[in-house]
Amino acid sequence: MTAVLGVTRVTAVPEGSRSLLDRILLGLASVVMFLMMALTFVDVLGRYLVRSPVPGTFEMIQFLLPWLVFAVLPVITKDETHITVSVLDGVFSERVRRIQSLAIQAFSAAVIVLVCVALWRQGSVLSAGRYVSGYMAWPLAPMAYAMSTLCFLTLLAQLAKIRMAWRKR
Amino acid sequence: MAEALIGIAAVLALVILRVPLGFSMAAVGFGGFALVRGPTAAIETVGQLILDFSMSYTFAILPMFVLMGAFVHRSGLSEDLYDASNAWLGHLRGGLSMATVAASAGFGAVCGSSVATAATMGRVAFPPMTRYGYDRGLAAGTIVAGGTLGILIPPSMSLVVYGFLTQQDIGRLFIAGLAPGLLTVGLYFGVIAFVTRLRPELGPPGPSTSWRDRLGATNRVLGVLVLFVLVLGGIYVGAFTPNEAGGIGAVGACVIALLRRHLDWRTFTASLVEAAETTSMVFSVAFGAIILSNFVNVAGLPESLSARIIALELPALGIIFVICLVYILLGCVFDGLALLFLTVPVFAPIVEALGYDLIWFGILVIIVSEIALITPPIGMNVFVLKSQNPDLPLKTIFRGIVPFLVADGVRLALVVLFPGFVLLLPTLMS
Repeated sequence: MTAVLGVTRVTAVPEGSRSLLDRILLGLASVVMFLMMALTFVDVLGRYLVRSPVPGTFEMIQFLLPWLVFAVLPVITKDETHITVSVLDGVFSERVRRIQSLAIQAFSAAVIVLVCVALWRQGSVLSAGRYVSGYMAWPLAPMAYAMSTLCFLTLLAQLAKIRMAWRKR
Repeated sequence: MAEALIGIAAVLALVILRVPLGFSMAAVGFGGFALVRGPTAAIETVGQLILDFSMSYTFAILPMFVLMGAFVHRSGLSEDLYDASNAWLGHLRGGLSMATVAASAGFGAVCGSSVATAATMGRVAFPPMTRYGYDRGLAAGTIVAGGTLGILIPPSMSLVVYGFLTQQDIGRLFIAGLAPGLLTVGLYFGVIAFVTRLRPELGPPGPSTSWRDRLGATNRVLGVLVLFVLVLGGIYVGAFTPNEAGGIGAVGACVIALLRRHLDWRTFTASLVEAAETTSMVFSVAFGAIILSNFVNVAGLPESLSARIIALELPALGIIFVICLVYILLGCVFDGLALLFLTVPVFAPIVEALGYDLIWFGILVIIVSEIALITPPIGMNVFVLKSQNPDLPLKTIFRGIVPFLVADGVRLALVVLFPGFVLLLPTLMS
């Protein structure tokens, strides 16, 4: 059991049984996490020890963070570890619960579609306006497209869950 | 205002039906905004809010501190913290309980989660307490209540979320948690001393430890103390920003775990993955929260609600009292994070309009939501301890918590009546 922020979840999936795609996504997120930590540390160290901080750390962190957040979303969706509130558990019968679970999965899929489309549109707005970041002048549109793509993978994971729930219905 | 209230009711309904919290808020926020401003504007707003938030430097602090906690969790420090506290306090009546509270505070100083603190101390401190003949109720109460120190003593994940929701400086919030955290330790010590004085059989004194062993045990936890002072001290004197402190804390915790030979490649990558997963889970809720609060703001809820409440001309203290009551009631159903995301955007403007400081309110919110973590029917910390000890009746745990709830009441009253106590340290900050 892993405890997070006052939310308890059960990690059901042993690391060894993960699919290749999951392992790639988690690997990506780990590398990003490590880079964020190392970058921040080296920046502070540089500032105090040799009086030369890493230029643009601030922005590099900003460009790293979305990868951390979105790369893990498909895995969280697959493991069903999204944060939920369980108040009515045990009130419904087994059959009602299965239908409820199916409805929740479908609802979640609709929200994921919304986010996916919204981010892609944001990407085209940023791309049309040639928006770049303030310091390093890195283009912002690819970030929106990347986030939208990872969201699409999340949608696929969600659809696979729906198919499974439908079979068990 | 009516649209916003209907929206909030819809979110509550969806959440209770077990739709993930973030998805519920996002759907209602998007739907409401689309009704008020049209679907095209709504979809563009959603895209922009999510992109801006994902690329926000301020919130990059969250993974850093989660990672620090993940390393600490794997470094086997909790046992040493308990041994060190025990060496100093164990020979007193109720001393093992006091040691548990002290070790919880120490663990909370490097970990920002209440449930994680309770789970860790439950594993480390519950067996020795029962071995020395401690009353199981007292032992359980100590662990469950002690766990709440995890989110009050900085770093604290809940304070990061609160800081984001109210646009308050996270460094100041951390520093503000320090004095109430120490007050809590003091009050819990008092409760344990009082209870075991009335009924000495509940917590018999343990064997006393020689000075040599005391110093030896303390020596083993010196690393954590140094890390805590470095991280918090750095924020306090302005040597680094809270984000930078998070990065330094994570590296420091990693080094400590390495030096203690508790870190190999597998646990190292597991820590990174754990931090990434937690971050992603919290962000997906935060996305929902910003989409919902954007709609609620457009619908004018916070202003009109605070205008109405101010128009009632109730004494400010009365309103604060009502807010605390709402938290404790909602806390019976929702746990910490859900509670923060759902209530803070509504209450914070009211509290600010009443002339209170939002840093102070943050600490107050954390304290009342902590009380929710240890009271029935949904006390998260209670369930954690119960899952570790299936033969321990819930009734016994809740009975053991009662004396600590009295201490929590006293603490709440002190914080409400003397805001200066919370605000002194953050005000002195450079």
